[in-house]
Amino acid sequence: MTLNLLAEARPALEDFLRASSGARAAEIVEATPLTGGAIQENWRLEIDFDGGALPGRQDLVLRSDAPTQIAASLSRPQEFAVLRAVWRAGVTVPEPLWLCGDSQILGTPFYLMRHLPGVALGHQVVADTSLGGDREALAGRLGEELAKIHRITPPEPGLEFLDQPSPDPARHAIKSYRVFLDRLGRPHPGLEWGLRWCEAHAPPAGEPGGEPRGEIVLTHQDFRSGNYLVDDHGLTAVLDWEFAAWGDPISDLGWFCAKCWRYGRPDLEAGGIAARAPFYRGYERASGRKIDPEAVAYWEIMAHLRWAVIALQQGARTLSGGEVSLELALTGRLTPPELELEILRRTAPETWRVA
Amino acid sequence: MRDGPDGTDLLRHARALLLGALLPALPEDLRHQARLIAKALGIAAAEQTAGTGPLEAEADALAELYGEARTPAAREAEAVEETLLRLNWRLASEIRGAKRDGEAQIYAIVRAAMLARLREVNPKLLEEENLD
Repeated sequence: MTLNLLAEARPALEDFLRASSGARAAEIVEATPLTGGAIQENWRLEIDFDGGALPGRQDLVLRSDAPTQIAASLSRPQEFAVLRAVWRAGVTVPEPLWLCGDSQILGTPFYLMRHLPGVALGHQVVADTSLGGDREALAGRLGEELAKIHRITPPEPGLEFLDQPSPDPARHAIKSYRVFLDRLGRPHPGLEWGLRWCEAHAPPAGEPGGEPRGEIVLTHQDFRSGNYLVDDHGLTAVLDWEFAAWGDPISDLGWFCAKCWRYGRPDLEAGGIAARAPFYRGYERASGRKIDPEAVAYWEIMAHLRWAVIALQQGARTLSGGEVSLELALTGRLTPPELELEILRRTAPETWRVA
Repeated sequence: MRDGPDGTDLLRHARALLLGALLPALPEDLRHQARLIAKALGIAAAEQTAGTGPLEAEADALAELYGEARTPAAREAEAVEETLLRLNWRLASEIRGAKRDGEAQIYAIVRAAMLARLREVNPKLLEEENLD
């Protein structure tokens, strides 16, 4: 860990907490590193506030950048802004509290949010059915949460930093994946085959530079099992907002249902926790949209392609002289062919409508 | 000349020891990491066992596609990794350029290459999917 919260940074951090909360004093009683994603560092902090906005003992999470960042992810200040927007929209997320854009205290920007109870690990959530309450209800609730995120449309005050929505989200994404592949410096004909299929079968686009033909909304871009918290009764929070972007709402549905995110339960097509029907019902009920299963199927292929590109990037970080991480190295070696199996299965010659 | 057991055997024994003796004795929070190590040992052993066979097969398929003869002299002149890079770049570029849309022969080549990679890293998946 690069942060040593209980040593040199502690007085400055406590001073920040005191000033942000309006308290007379703030004392960090305990700091525990949380297992986070490959990109961020998360700490659970127990803090005693003397007065101010949150008097008494508080259980908070501090989220900061890790040493290695992925270019496509949001900065901590941007992520904080997204979290505030979805919090205002009524999405079940940890309440965002204070942002510190100044790198002086921890060497990197960070923010604080409330700590919520629960388990997020995808394998555990899928395998342990004592978690999350009734699974159909959980799937329905997740559909509703996704619909709430998708109610936010551009322009949204506070989210001006998000890239302008493309009139053609699918082809825009394909183009960016090709750029990432090119940067890796090795050819990937199998993934190229899948990308070309997706390009040839992309949903109709709007005019270049004009309005998109489909809807454009705030998309989470990593909405899947593993990125939400559940306790014994149900959902407690939707997490990991670092990839949020304007996009096609169906892309989030495809990501959630993609076979690669079912954690050993391919039969449960909604994130390994339930059938699609309750998830779709929850989404349709809360969004007023009618889901087109074919459009979701398209974005599921896109999901496998996107994850394959990310996995290759993660593996590339560990090549000779790079970061030492067996987890990332194995992801880079193991995950792409597994994903390619599914991509090629869904893009066989007989499925091409343009050949 | 080396005496046996060779590197592949050593990896196999190391993996067995890790999974059989060490893993059950480890605290829960370290078991995931031990499994990662076992996985890495397994892949390294599979890669050694397979040798260059899968690479040669992939290069042969690409060479046939492009009408190149992989004669002994050609193999001497260009290492298999170089052949793979050169021909896979060409194929990737053609696919991206919409010159190979839906072609069954191309599909067969990229699928065979994917299955060969999968055979080294996750043979269990191939068995589960009845692909091996």
